[in-house]
Amino acid sequence: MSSTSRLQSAAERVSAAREATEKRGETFYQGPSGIHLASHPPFERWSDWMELDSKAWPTKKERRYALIPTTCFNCESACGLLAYVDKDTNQVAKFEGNPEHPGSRGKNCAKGPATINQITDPDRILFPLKRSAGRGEGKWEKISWDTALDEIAAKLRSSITTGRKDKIVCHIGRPGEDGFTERVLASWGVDGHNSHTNVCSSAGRAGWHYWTGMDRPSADFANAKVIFLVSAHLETGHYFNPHAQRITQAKERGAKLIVLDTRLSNTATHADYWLSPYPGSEGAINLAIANYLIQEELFDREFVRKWWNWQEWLESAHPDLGQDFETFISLLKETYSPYTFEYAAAESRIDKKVLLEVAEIVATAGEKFASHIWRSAAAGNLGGWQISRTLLLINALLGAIATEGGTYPNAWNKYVPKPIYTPPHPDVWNELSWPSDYPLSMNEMSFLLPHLIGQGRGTMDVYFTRVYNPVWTNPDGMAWIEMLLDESKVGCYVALTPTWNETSYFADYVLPMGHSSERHDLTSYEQYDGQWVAFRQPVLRTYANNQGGEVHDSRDVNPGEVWEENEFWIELSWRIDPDGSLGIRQYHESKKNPGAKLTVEEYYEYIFENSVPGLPGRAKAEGTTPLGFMQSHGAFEITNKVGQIFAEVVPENELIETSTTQLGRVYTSAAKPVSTNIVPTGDPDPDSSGKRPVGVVVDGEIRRGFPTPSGKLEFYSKTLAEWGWRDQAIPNYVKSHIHPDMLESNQMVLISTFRLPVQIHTRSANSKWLDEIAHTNPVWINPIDAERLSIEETDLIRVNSEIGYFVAKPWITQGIRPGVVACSHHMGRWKFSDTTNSLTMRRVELNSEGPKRHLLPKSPPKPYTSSDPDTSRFWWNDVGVHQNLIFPVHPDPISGMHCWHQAVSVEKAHSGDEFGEVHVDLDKSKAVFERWLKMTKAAQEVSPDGTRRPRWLMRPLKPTKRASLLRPTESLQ
Amino acid sequence: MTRYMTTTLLAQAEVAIALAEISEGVVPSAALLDALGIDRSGCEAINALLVSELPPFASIYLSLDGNIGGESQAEIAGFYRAISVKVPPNPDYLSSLLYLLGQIIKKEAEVVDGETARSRAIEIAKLTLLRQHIAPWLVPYLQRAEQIAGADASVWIALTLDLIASILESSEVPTPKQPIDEDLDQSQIESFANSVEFIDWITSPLLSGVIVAPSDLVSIAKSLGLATRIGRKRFVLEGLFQQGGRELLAAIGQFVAEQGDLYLSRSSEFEVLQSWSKRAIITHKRVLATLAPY
Repeated sequence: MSSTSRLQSAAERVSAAREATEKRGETFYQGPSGIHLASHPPFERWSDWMELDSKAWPTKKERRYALIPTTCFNCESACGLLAYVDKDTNQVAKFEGNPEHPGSRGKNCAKGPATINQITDPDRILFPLKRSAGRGEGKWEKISWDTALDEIAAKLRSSITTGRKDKIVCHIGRPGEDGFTERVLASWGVDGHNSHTNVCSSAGRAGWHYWTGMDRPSADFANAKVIFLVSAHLETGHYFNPHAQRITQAKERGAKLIVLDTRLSNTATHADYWLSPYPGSEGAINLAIANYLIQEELFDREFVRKWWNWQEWLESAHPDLGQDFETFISLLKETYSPYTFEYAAAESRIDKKVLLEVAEIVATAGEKFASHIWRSAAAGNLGGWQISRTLLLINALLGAIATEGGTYPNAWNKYVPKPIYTPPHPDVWNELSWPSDYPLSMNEMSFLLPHLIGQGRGTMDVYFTRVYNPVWTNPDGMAWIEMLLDESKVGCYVALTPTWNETSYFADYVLPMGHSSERHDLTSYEQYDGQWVAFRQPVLRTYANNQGGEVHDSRDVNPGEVWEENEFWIELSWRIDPDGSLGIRQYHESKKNPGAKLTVEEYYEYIFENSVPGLPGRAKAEGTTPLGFMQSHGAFEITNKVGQIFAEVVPENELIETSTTQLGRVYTSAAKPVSTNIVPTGDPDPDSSGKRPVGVVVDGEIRRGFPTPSGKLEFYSKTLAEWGWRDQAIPNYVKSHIHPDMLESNQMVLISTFRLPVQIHTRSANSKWLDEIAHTNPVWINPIDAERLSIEETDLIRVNSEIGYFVAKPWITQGIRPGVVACSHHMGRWKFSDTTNSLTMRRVELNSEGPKRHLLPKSPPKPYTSSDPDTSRFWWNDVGVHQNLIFPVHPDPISGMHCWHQAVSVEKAHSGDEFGEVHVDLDKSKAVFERWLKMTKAAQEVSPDGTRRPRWLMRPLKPTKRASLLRPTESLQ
Repeated sequence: MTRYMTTTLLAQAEVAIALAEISEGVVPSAALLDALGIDRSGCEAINALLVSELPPFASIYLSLDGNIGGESQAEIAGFYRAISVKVPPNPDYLSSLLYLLGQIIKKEAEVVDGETARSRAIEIAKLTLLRQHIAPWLVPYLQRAEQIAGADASVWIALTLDLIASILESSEVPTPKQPIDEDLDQSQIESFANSVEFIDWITSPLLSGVIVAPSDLVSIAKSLGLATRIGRKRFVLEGLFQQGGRELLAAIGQFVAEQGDLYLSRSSEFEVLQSWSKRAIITHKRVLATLAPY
């Protein structure tokens, strides 16, 4: 028998076995060396996976696991995890990536596997606690969940029934499930949703929203030719893993990566062009590139003609000129002609030749231009939202909107399935969260809460923080402490948190919440051109059910009495309205068993059976239920290659009794088709006869368009023009509050917005693996500045802001440009006593002296004995400095975003200064707030229609029209 | 392309990918093991060989310093890029090479009749990969594997050799002479100046023509009553030379001579073994020249 004959015989046997295996839907080839994702355990073996016990080596001791999927609960991107449940111990042994998750594709950053540290943290909060002494004194008693629920429910019921609905506020940190908390609050009739977004991403969102009616980018990185990032977020925060792996894919194919980041971020180290601009000048660079495309006619004329609202700009801003496209192009050239490379070079301090080179590369991208912006420059600067808007101008010029390799609006790459109940939006407006001083703010003005309450604008009966830590995360933390200590301002404070944090020390109730593998959530995020949903679940509950066990609720399987939020909110809502008389309970009742409490199983069963297209069929093909499919796979891809939804022709059945404006906006009497995807977008107003906007006429055809008032990409925002900001209505360059013109001669810019890739503000303080990798935050300083200031790396330095100073260690590095210093957040954690242990919190003392507050270090974290032997051998004691305390609030007058960058002076520490100390003057912080408040244009002055805020803009809870009026007794104009 | 040719190519591709899976060191599916006739002990023997005895990286056997990495990896990565397949972390690892070979053969089988230029280009790519990056080390490697892993790994070894032979025998493209062969024809026999030079030589399979496994050194040490230290081969050899010189060199020389004979036993089937044999003979002669003065 020849070698070929033997080979053919073997091949026949292998082919037959492969075909039979694959026919059963199982994986035959796991794949070599990471070429395939099948280097992960193949799905069909998840119920009984064997690995050798590494600790038993060289003995080959087999350990058997059930692999239960969930999603990570650290950053927002909700990457897939597989919990390895040890069948001998019935506990989770480790977490690895879930290859069935279409966003993360089996890959994770360090935070995912470190979930095991979080769930086994020997010092986590395990039981409901109630304050047993004065607020902030750090004394607690363990109480039952029943007691906690009854007491809190009674306070809420009292507020709801006595006309004090606006005194209930729930402050959200890490989002769990899209819209869940909003719907709970809506069921209570409360406008109390308060997000962290205005200290995070609202400026990045605002720039997108005014263009597209949707509020964030979804770049198709994997297929891009040129990737342009005005951000450091990709390697340090959201989407680090799903985006980074797709950028790597594109680079392997030869795509060019351009990164604008003043600091040498991890992303910048991978760039073909790393541009380190003077902070705040990014908008000038964007506009210089746009101007180059415009003047050289390198843009997509047809796309601009069809999809920009140029006619509206001509009509509103230039009524005296010709109203044709050629006139528009001439005006466009004239308008942007000042933004030359020379101008951008002067602003950014980057060589104009480099800027030209980058512009030439951008011009080659065509529709395959993927751009992204999130925090970074947008979050740092006054007018940061215009940096986002000028970036999208480049995409809009190239026609790279929702194209392969281009940038999508997030809403088209996201699926929020309609839940079992959607309670009506409240008939009240919360003036503390949405003050009329900031009518265009993209999100709640949450970081101003202490100042607004300080001005006597209101109080709170019940204040929840949900996996949030405003004292430490927000600017001006001392003002937060002042507010929380005053029980006349905050009647009851409830902290829902998995771990101790700086804010929870001031709580009245501390309620333990679950981590990634201990809670239910349904998530969907824009990570590529596709739509998917992923299921976070209490894995031991699913495991117990699979074994035939009965679980009453997640507390039965979680450590101590740690609970999941969904069940908590349902239970709390029942206790507020036990007999249903308030109309709250109806939204938390079973549909299958009327009168019984809604269970999380029924809640998700309903969603998966009714609101996720394709899932029931796929589940049936596998012989399971939709819920069973999600419990076993953890994720489901609904579709990919979504395409240009805006260009779709509107079907005839949606065009009933239509009316069309002169500029082509089409309104219809036809009801909006029922969709199971309730992803939020802009919601343009109906016309005067109540018909809804349905599309826009483009070259004689009615197409779907964008969810903006004009139905087109809004190069010109009529909303901004009408609400008092005509000068900002088109993409524009705003000189930042830290522009060189604004600085004193001894001042520098402090960049404080960058993250450490392995940490997350509220949940990683006791994650030992992550803490070992990163536990301190020295101040980055260029050698030129260090020499000028006579600073050496062994010195301590003082960083002085308008309201105070902190003492830190310097890191002298070329990774930051001269004139700028940078300090990461995440570090500088603190606590008041040693009653709780920590790997990264130093013990401090807080002293008052009139308006002055002094946070003084007492002792660094020390090794301690616990159930985890590693806590007795951690080796670090430098845990950085809490810099955010010395930042006064800087609310952008338009987007409402806190503008994080600080003008600071840096000097050698004074004699007696101690590393980590922080000093703040509250009078000064109040003065800065009042100064910035004067920059706004309040709704009372500028509202064109008597409303508090343009109603078409997105809002988590959207109060009724009546409640949206500045004078609710009057009718809408 | 005839139906027979296509069938042969598809069979070669299937087996190449199946062998890649087996060589990966993960636990393959039971169905695959059954189809190939490999049992659990066979799988363990292969894993032990790949992990502990002879790391199957082409660069170890085809580079002068005998280390992982270098040009060999870079050249193989180019093949991956050419067929638009993601380059794996170690492109010259045996399973990656076999997987790559399987993918190229698949592409060859997919070529439509009449696309002669494309067909020829793919065939040349396949043969270049096989002749430059796989066969030159894998054939002698598998001979050593047979000695070390024994009968448990015999199915895997035989099928891998069959795959190489099958591709080579179905090719009409002549094998170009390798530069190393020309160098061998002109080699001078010189003694080793010291143990360092000898260790450099013997730990480079490309120079010495010898593939030394850790267990070989343990056996030699035992036979001489020497103690072995645990570590890289170079470290182990340094430890042995600190204990014994002449006897040790003689024992290694004997081992080298046996390797030369081993290659010759199948050199009619695999031409590449001839140059391995030549190199082993040169090494043996250099050892004898070194021992001669004593």
